[in-house]
Amino acid sequence: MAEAEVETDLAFAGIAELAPRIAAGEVSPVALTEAALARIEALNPALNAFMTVTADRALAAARTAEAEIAEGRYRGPLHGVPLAVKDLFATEGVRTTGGSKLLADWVPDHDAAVVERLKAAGAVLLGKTGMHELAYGTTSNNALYGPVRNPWDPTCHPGGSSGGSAAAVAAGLAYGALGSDTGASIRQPAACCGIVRLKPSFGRISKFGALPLSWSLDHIGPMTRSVADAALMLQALAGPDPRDPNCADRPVPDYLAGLGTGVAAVGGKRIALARGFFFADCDPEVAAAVTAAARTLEDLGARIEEIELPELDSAYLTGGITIACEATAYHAKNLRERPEAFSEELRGSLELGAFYSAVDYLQAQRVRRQVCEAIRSAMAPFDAVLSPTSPVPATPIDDSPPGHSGLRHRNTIPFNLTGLPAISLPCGVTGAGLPIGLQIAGAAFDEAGILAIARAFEAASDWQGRPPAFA
Amino acid sequence: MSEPSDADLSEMAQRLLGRDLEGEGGAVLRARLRNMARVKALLADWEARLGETAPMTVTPVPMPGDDGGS
Repeated sequence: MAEAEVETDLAFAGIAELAPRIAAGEVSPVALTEAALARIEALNPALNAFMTVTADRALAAARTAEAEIAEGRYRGPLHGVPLAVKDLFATEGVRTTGGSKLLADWVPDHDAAVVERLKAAGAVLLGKTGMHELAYGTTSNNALYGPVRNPWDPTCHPGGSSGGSAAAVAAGLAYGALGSDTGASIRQPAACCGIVRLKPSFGRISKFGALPLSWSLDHIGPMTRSVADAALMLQALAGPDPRDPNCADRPVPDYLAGLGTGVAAVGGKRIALARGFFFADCDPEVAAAVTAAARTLEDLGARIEEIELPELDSAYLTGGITIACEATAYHAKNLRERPEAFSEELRGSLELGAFYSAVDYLQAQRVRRQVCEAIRSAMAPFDAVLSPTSPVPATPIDDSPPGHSGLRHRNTIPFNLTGLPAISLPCGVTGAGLPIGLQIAGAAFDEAGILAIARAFEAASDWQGRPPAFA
Repeated sequence: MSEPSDADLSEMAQRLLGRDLEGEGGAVLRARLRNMARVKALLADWEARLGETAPMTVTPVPMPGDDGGS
């Protein structure tokens, strides 16, 4: 297949759509990779989604994949598919900065577990994507490496901290990407960039080789343009890993098996629409889109009940102190010895973390236990809980309202605190043409359940796969 | 939960960081200090409710029927 044809026809294809064609030899991994690299060369100077492009490695991996497939050694649906990796994950032989001056020259001698798994699945890794400095922020406006820009409006931020991965997937520069999420960093950029992102249960995916921000809140997840693609990536990424003490030793189900459409997929399911906290100070267009999404699911036969989850203000503040203390602890040595290697903004945040006492932190973890139990109990009768992913859409990089800094991660952090899985997928656009995200949260390790509901909504709506303006 | 006043925040900035809240970065610092004051107030409000509650530990999130915290 000619390169130009690949670029025009397949840049926005889904992994689930491409995989059988790659397996059948109809689509060439080399041509796909060349086309992706050409799009990166054309669009990345304006978007700054990629910090490092590993073109030679990607082409070598694509040639290997193509040869293996031709010889009948097809590895599965990620084989030969070009993907991107947030610069938070260690990559053997490839610079890994964490978006920080601290690690500007670090070239790891090992791969993160998730990178190992993608390579083992035969994926083609295109390079490393930009992020908020050390993952501590929600705009990806990086003082050292420059701001990542939103493909829907390049004057706006793409969300953060996984903003580069979100922008790359939204703009058709990669078919999927890896992100990390401590308070919002997978789902909030997904909402800003109009893509799908899944934060699985705490422990579902190994964090070995991922730079920590907050050990007890960090999660890793896939970022894609469709729910089925998120399921495919999760299938490759999930599973036990003794190198990560928090990784769960639980069987991995078939995440694609339950994906369906229409009444058969969600009919009779009991789904809560969480009002109150999640809708407070919410942009009216966001509120309307999420409410309409609930009606769509109701039209498919789901039983929608409006509820208010308990203790969410406490969840928000407990999450905040937990991140502050754990991040400051992780960076304490560098804060003392290399303070100039942090931006003023980040250094200020980390310095404040040092002013919480050990007693404060432990009291917060006692509060956390009660808060988590209360939230889980309230969610238990339901198959899923709906809310806006972020109460506010993306805003101009240089003119974001000060109040948004506390709002961008407000609706997502409760599910980091509880460790419960949550997915974000597009459910509308604002009058200004910026995407709106719907968050669907579920029970522990029921990723399959929320993927099924997300897929049913996706199929019943027309928000999936819309190319952004700048693509 | 009461909100800290501007005077409270200025006092915190001086006491903790030796800075004032005017000039570049003042608005960001003010927001962070306000959040910190809210956290401290939250913990004080919760103290009476904690009873024998043990701190959350960092392990995989439990399934229904499991023991232990996440």
